[in-house]
Amino acid sequence: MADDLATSYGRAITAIGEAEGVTDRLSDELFSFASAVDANGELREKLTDPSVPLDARQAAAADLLQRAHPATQAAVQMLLASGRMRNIREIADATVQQSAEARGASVATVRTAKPLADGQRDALVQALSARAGQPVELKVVVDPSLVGGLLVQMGGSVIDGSVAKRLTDLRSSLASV
Amino acid sequence: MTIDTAIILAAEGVDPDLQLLPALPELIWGFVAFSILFAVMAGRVYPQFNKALEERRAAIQGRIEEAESQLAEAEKARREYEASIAEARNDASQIIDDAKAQAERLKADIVARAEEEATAIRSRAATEAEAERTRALQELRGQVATLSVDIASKIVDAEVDQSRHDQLVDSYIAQLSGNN
Repeated sequence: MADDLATSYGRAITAIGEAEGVTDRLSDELFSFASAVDANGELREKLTDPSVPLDARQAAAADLLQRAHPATQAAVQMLLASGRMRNIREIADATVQQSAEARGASVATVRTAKPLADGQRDALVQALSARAGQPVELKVVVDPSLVGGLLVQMGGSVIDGSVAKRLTDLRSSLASV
Repeated sequence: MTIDTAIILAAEGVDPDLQLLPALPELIWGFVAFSILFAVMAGRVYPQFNKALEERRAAIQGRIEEAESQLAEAEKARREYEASIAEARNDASQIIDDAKAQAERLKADIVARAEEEATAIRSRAATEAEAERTRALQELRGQVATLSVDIASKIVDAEVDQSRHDQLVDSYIAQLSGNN
């Protein structure tokens, strides 16, 4: 999916959030839902399989989003109906980015092997804000495959401080000896 | 009869009165007859005879010349035949020499081409063997690296608890802050 298409969907969903006055909540819930779909292959297959009737996929999504805001539920149903569920990761990122930009902030997606403590989250926000020159909002995803440490993606740059990255570098250096 | 003749005849026991010579008239008639015969022979027979002889001589001479001409032609034909045989032999010899030379060139070309192909095959085989060796070595390195890292991952995975993770995160934040 092209970035401009994700941006278009993100802009539409942000408009829904602004209309409902729940921009932050909508972007947070959509981000969390996209992370859950990313992390669960079975769920991703079920929601993106065209052989599964649309009604069944929409019912499954609605079941998962029972506690979400109706605007979030409507946004996910729209993506299901338009066949864009495979691209929910890019669309959620675009939505979060546009919501943050509306507040004059940037978004940093943080993938961490284990949950971050509040102090670590604040310190990270400060460091990233100083680096970006503007307020930074964190979107944290717990990813055990990183083994340890964390990976920060902000804008087009990625700062990988994970153990998985070090192991990958080690594998590359060993293979090239 | 002369006295000498009589002596001789007497000495041989012959009768001296024996008359050997004809009488004179007989000699005269004989002489006349002989002259007539001689004249006839010289005037009529001898020219005819001589003409026949001349014709026969000319005919024989003509046949001799014809035979000589035929002999010369035969000799010429023989020489031409021998010349053509010699030329044919030369041509055959030249053809054989050319064929031998061409066969030698063909042989040299075939040998050179075979050597060239053999060299190319050896070179290609060496290149392929080197590439295969490199590929196998690279694959082995990759397998060793993967295996080593898999083992290291298991060890590290067990070693990285919440405390170690917090250390890594703090170090990351400190490094990020230090770079700003």
